[in-house]
Amino acid sequence: MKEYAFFPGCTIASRYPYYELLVTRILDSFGYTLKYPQTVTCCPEPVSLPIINEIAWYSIGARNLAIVEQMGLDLLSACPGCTDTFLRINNTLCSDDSLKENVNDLLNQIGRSFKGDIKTQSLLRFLYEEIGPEAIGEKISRPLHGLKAAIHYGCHSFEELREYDDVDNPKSLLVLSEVIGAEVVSYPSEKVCCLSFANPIDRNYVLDTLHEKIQDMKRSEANCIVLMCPTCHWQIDMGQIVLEIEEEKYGELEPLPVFFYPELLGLAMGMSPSDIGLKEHEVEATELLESLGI
Amino acid sequence: MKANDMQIRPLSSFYANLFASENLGFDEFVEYSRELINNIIKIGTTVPIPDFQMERRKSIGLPPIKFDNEEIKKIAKLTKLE
Repeated sequence: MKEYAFFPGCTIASRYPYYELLVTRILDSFGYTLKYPQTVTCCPEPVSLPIINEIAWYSIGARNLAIVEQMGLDLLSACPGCTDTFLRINNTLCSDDSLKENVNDLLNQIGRSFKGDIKTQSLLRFLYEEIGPEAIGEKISRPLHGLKAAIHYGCHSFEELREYDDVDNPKSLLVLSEVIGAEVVSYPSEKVCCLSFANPIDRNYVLDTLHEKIQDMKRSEANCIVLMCPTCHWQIDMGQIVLEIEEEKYGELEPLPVFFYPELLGLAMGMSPSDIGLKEHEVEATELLESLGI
Repeated sequence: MKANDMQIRPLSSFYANLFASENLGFDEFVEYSRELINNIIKIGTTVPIPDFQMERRKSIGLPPIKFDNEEIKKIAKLTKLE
């Protein structure tokens, strides 16, 4: 069994423990063991902290990387936001000796040191490159024919997509979705941000944008949404419930179930809906899954 | 404070540009961000993990996850984040 250090991130750990368990089970079935760092903190989050105090952002992130480096393992990150943070911090510190020295001066004062000698990758990249569509295809016992998936990559995926996919027309999640039997539909607002960061700032703008995105997906005949990011999942899943509540403004909305790709993979591998933790979702997926015979 | 007034590295500027182009409230964003950052310093995460989720983790066989903020507090002092 090959081992990787595993960083679930705050959002998965706090909101989606069943999904976290599912990820470990799926990777175990492909021959991978995940080891948790002894202690972690927020990655730290890639949006506000680098704007407000960049050196703190680099230092906290480098500290997390330093802890994983001591494990002697490469890092697998389940959250695209965390992956974005780690890649940006690692790549910048490894190419800027002066900044790296400043950060290590700080880290040395807490007994840590960042080297930059491990590889960090997202779960999506891991599934696509390390495991690969062919190996995934071999484990599919129940192809999800009838699923029409609207893919939402989420903003924080794009830093890494640049390295292994086509950032203008990414295909990694498309290929992985097709290998489990789903049809992927494209829609105009594919690259529109979920706007979770703007929730406390302009709620109307957030809901208007989300509504338009969901309508785009439905016009493209999607019957579900597929993504990898837990923040996007929470935003789009819960956001549709809010849109339903605000029916007077947005009209009647039949929300679309929102899946993490590994959840669909688990179903296609023969797991049951209760195995994959759908109880953590706000939008019900029962009717859709029953229509697929699940 | 306007987004474009800040010295922002290119990789962070996506959000700054979004704020500027969509006329979103950057000052409100900074205020909200302070709350997230204070959580990181106080408890080690932006999103507190409720006790019931910690129990759920244990009941379904996930390893305990320890968010340790002691070293973060020191970094916060050294970088004037606090």
